[in-house]
Amino acid sequence: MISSFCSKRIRFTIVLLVFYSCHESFADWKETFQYHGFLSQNFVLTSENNFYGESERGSFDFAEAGFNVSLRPLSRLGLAAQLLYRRAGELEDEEVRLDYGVLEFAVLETTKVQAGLRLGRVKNPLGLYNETRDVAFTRPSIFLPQSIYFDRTRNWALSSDGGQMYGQYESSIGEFSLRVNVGVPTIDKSLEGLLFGRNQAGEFNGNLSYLGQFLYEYQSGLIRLAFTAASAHTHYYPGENDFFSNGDFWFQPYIFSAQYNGERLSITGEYALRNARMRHFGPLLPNTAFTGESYYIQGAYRLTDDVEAVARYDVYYQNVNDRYGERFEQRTGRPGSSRFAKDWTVGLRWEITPNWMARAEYHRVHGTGWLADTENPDPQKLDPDWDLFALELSFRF
Amino acid sequence: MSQRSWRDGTPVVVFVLPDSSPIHKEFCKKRLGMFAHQLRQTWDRKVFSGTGQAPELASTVEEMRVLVSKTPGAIGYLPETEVDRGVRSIRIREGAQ
Repeated sequence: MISSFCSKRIRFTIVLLVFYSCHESFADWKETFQYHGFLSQNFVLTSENNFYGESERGSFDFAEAGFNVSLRPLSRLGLAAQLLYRRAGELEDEEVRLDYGVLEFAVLETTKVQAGLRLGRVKNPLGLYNETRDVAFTRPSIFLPQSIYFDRTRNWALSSDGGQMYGQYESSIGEFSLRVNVGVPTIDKSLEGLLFGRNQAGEFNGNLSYLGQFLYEYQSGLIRLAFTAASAHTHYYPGENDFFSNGDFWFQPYIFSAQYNGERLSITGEYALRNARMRHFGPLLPNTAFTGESYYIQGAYRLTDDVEAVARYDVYYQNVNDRYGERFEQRTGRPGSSRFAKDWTVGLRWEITPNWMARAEYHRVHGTGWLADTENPDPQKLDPDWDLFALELSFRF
Repeated sequence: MSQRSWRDGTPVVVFVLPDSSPIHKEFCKKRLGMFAHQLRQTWDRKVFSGTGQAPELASTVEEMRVLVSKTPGAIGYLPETEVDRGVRSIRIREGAQ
């Protein structure tokens, strides 16, 4: 018999058990059907500047909901899809979208090694949080560190229409996994806002892009180390009387991630370098290339089983050769403080029940680097020193 | 831990007790070598990214025993005193989690 452990509190033996029967070994595939979902409503209040709606007056214009189904009709074949609803102030249009929809083939599956292929719309494993960034329960705070997980231009980093190859190996010193996505990024109008300052007549289309993540997990996630690299390509097709011509935008981020998950304390840090290049957009947008830098360090402490406190320092530079935007200001007349942001965050999370969670958090931010022009149309009115307070209520099933 | 079907092709159906259950916490810590909140995080990531499925919930020890004994391919855990002929307990080799 296994597991004869004793603790002071639980004086019995726990045994692992398996179903045991000689006459039936074929499960009904319908038994594998599952559905899950979540629903979050947030409140955002800022001292100056707008984030997720008219937050200077207090905004409820930030809500998320998702519903997913999954099924394994054959032992080597899986299906999964999720619909996502999101309302996000003027950051993007209110919408319902297919978040992911995948057909999975498990090519190799043993106790130590698993490998296979997912086809369809696959989520991008970018850093530690991107894949489930819209699920409040999986986030460390109401807002993810904006230096790496921009909410301003999120959609085109979310998923790829194409496929993912995956492989993982459980060794005696931990689990190694590699995932490679090949596909077309899902692009929306927010990219025009970022590159052109506003929506234009034409539109961006995604070209074939690549993403790879290597992850090492020691002791089932006690320590997690990851490296992500991606190369995303998009092409602009101008509309009638467009100010810009057929141009290419190329984006190549590298993210280093490290996390420690103790019984009470978790520490997470991520560092990213982002290379971007724009070409052939015409005289209004000369060919340019720059490198951005982002990093954060975050600590979370479980005060009780239900209450967790979190603190984070998050830094964003749009261009490492002009970190504080001085040259940008000289050249464009727009404030240099819109080219960086330093964000101190503290927050509390309360798991009211396993299905209900509430959060409160406060940010003190210097710089407006990750705020959106669509929400703050006049750059001269941006205040470089501002506070953000937010509340969240979330339900899942 | 990521294996999803037994060698004969039967899906692995994992049953767990609620997160707050002391038996669940002890099982995670002593047998899986992880904390219950880590296990929850891992499953949440899989369930909401389309890369895996969640374990089935058994709300009580009695329910766990009944569900595991009724469901083909099921796997779960129980205090030793609750084990009966409907289920079979298995030995975990050291280092092979």
